[in-house]
Amino acid sequence: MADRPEFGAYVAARSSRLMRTAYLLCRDWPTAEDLVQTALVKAWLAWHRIEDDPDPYVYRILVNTHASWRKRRWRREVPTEPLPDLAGPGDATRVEDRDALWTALGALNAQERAAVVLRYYADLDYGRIAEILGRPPGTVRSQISRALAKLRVDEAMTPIPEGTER
Amino acid sequence: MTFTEDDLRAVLAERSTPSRVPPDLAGRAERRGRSRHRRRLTVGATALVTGAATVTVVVAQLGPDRPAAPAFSPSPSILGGYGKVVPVPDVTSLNRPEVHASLRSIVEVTGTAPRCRRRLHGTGFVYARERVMTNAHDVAGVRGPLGVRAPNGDEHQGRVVLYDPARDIAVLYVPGLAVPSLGFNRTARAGDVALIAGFPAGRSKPLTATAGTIRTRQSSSGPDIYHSGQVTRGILTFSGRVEPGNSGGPLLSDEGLVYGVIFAAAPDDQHGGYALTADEVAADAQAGATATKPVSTQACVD
Repeated sequence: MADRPEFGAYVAARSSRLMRTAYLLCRDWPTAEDLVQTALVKAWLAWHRIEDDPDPYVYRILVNTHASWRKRRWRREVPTEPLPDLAGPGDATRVEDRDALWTALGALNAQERAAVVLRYYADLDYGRIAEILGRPPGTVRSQISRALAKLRVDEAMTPIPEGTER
Repeated sequence: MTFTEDDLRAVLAERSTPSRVPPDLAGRAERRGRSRHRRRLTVGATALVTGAATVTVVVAQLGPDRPAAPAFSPSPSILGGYGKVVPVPDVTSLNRPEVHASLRSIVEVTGTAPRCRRRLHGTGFVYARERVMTNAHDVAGVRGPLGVRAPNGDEHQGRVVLYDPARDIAVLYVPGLAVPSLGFNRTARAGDVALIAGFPAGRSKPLTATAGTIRTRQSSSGPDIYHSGQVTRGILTFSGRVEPGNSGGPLLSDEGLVYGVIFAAAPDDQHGGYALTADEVAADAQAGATATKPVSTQACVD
């Protein structure tokens, strides 16, 4: 059990993809690396139970681990961790649409972002995403459309400057 | 904002591109998985008593992918004349007089932020005459003087004379603080052994010192402490045990110099933490070394 050649092959083939997916979830490279490491350790431990396609399983660990880290993170002390609700660009400079879209993505909550990433980055259908997230496909569908709606209205929101007075 | 699904695909693909795949992911996962079977993290706690002072030192075993697992060293190092004993984990290169001496320069910082009804607690270190460096988030929103407790138990009062929420650095001016200053070492590299020192245990608890290893030196972008903007900073990621009160404390080299300022724990606490590099904090260190005028610590952080 210590040597499962398929595990090494899987990681070699998928690590870059997993790193990117993890980054899109948490938006920070060191955290992404830790996330992938943790997911792979869990996957390794469960490898004998995983069937032909490990992707859904590994994605599920990535998403769940990320969610649990967000819950557990230190108060005030993890500035490199996932972006919480980030205010939009704080000054009057007009940013390009794609920058705005990226910023807006950061303002989605972890669940919505996971669904969006699995749909538009991993290119999975609603059925697979539902399987990974452990929710009915209908819920996933409405979650994604709600996320898209949020992104669409994001620019209209007046950015609230933070950090000076509260 | 108008965008198509293809825009969304493009943004996700684009933003995730500079993906650096860490070497040997599979091997590391396997080793960690295997040793998790055997209970991965062995944490030993030992208390030594000198006179009336009890010092607890937590020794975290390095991850299995590290070259050497430090065992606890029974030979204590004495903080000369300070009445406390702080054993240093037995990573041989850390068991040196310079390292032991450097622990005298680490202080506990406490303050009160009345507007958010919060008492703050963190670690700092003396880096220039009567100047203590710590994290901005450790003193954010504080009003009134800060409590600075030296390792010998002496209490002093300090005030914030430099506040840099973007870098997460603050400098305190502490008149009368007669503690030697720590120097910086800007050459930290992956694989270097380091000591995580600070006051994670809480108010008026002893200093703890834990061994770690530097994993990477890199630039990292993330929100500033108020989440009001993105900042890119030079950081060290390291393995070892980091707890909330550690923030603001130094990551020390085997020569007792400051590799970096610890500011965050990895979200999975088995994975160590993050420190701002000595280079990153150099400008603030210089500006703070001669400052005496109090500055605002702005608002509390969430």
